[in-house]
Amino acid sequence: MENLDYKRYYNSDNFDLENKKIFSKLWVFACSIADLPNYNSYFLAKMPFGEIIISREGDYFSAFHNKCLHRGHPLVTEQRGESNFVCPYHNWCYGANGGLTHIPGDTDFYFADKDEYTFDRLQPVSIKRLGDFFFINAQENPLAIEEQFNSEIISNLEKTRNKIGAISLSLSLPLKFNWKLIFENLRDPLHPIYLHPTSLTQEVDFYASQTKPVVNEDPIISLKELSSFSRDGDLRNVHAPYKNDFMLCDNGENYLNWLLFPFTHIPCPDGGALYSVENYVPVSAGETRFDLHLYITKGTGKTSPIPILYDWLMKAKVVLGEDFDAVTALQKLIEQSDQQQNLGAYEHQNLRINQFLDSYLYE
Amino acid sequence: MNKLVNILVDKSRLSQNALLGVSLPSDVQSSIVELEIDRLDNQLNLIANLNGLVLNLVSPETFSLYRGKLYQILSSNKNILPFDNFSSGQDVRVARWSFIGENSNISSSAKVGLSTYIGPNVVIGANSKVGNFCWLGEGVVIAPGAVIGNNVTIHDGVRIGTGSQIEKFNEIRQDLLANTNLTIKSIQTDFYGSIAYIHNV
Repeated sequence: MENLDYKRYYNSDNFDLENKKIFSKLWVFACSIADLPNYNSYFLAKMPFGEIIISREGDYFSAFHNKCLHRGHPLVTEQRGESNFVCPYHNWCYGANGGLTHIPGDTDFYFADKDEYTFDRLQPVSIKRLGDFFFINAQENPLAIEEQFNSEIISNLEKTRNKIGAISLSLSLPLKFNWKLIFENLRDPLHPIYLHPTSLTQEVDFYASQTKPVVNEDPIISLKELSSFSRDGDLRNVHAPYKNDFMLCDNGENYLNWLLFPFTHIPCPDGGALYSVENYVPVSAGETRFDLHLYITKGTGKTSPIPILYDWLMKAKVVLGEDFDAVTALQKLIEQSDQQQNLGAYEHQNLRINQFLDSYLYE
Repeated sequence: MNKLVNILVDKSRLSQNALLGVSLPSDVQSSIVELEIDRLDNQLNLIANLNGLVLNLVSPETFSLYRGKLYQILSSNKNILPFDNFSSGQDVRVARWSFIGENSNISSSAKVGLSTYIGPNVVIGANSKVGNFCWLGEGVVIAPGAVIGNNVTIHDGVRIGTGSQIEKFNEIRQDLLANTNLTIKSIQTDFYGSIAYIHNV
């Protein structure tokens, strides 16, 4: 057994370090093509490093901070809309690519000539498209996304290209636990048989993977090792009718959790009828916002999308509710204790990641 | 000879009694299949293997939970054919696969769409229209002239005022006044207090 301190789950200094060195430097999932359905659509993504507008101008996509260049007022408050931005404070105008197009009364009130502006563009954020998904990075000159995700993850994400349809469902839910706790729960292959005996375990045969774990004790030396698929069990039913390339990871037979560090989780798609993307966005040391996106795939054809969305939502509700209750209870007691937690061999990946955080961030 | 497969996903008095009032074409052999649908979908696969007509998809408690799966199977199985349209009352039209609950009253010239479930003690006013794939709970009142779009869910006891227009995919939990025009395409769920929004419908 290995010990870990509890402080990392509630201490605000730790959270500040995570925000500065992880969330603001790594690629994070922002939205999909379904969130930008028209040639002049935008999507507002709320991230730990600020509110980011992902804007579409034809087939060109850009991302920038939701912050007017004048006094820093938010340009938009709605999550979706048309990418023609006018700040409600003094009506500064911006185009779909974030470029400043007009300042009302620029020469009369600001004594500014358009040719003399020292700024002409909203603060940009890097954006990368993988398949039909968009990832953003707060850095203007970010690390290559290939340094963060291994080739298997990137190639599987690329398989989603042109697979996502127009209809999607989204919801946000505030949760009272640290973002790391829920991911450690997701990486824990043992808990479903105890915590989800009547829900997830009915669909995934977790017993099939209950063999002696292959333990990797090597320290993490590459960011790629932080993200992974967890192959925790066999799907009891493989949904053949809508199976597509995305489902062909491992021939579509495994329960394949996509765990994209730092905070994106894609559970195994339901027969390829939809993609479920869960973002556990860190808000503070003890708070996380759960952003759920369900994207209907084109493979569903003329099948009514609403029942598919309902179906997944109701099933997810049961499993997630069980997880949220457990992790919320953990967080509550963790904050009242200075004790250490004791992790066993099967939790080696959680241990390795925490040891990585210890050496890279906290010490 | 066609075989009528009536799918009941519960064994409630509501469902069975409602079936008694349905008149069947003389060449259809009735066969009621009672199914307890679980998460493993074994029973759903059984449905897919049956050759015959489908009349009802009824589950008052868990309808939304499983209808996605049912539709997937039904839409991919060419052997399952729809039941013929039938009418009751003057100029009332009820489309195939729809279900009318016990003691419900559909007034003249009202229309009920495809695969719509109407619970018991529902009143649907004259000249009103209920779309496809709707779900109307027990005791719902649709006043005359109201138009309910497709895929609308109306919870038990809700009253919809005269001349109201409800756009598709809405979920109604409270009474609506006359001439209410509801266009918000949001579905209110009880997902731990949050609201799920459906986009680009």
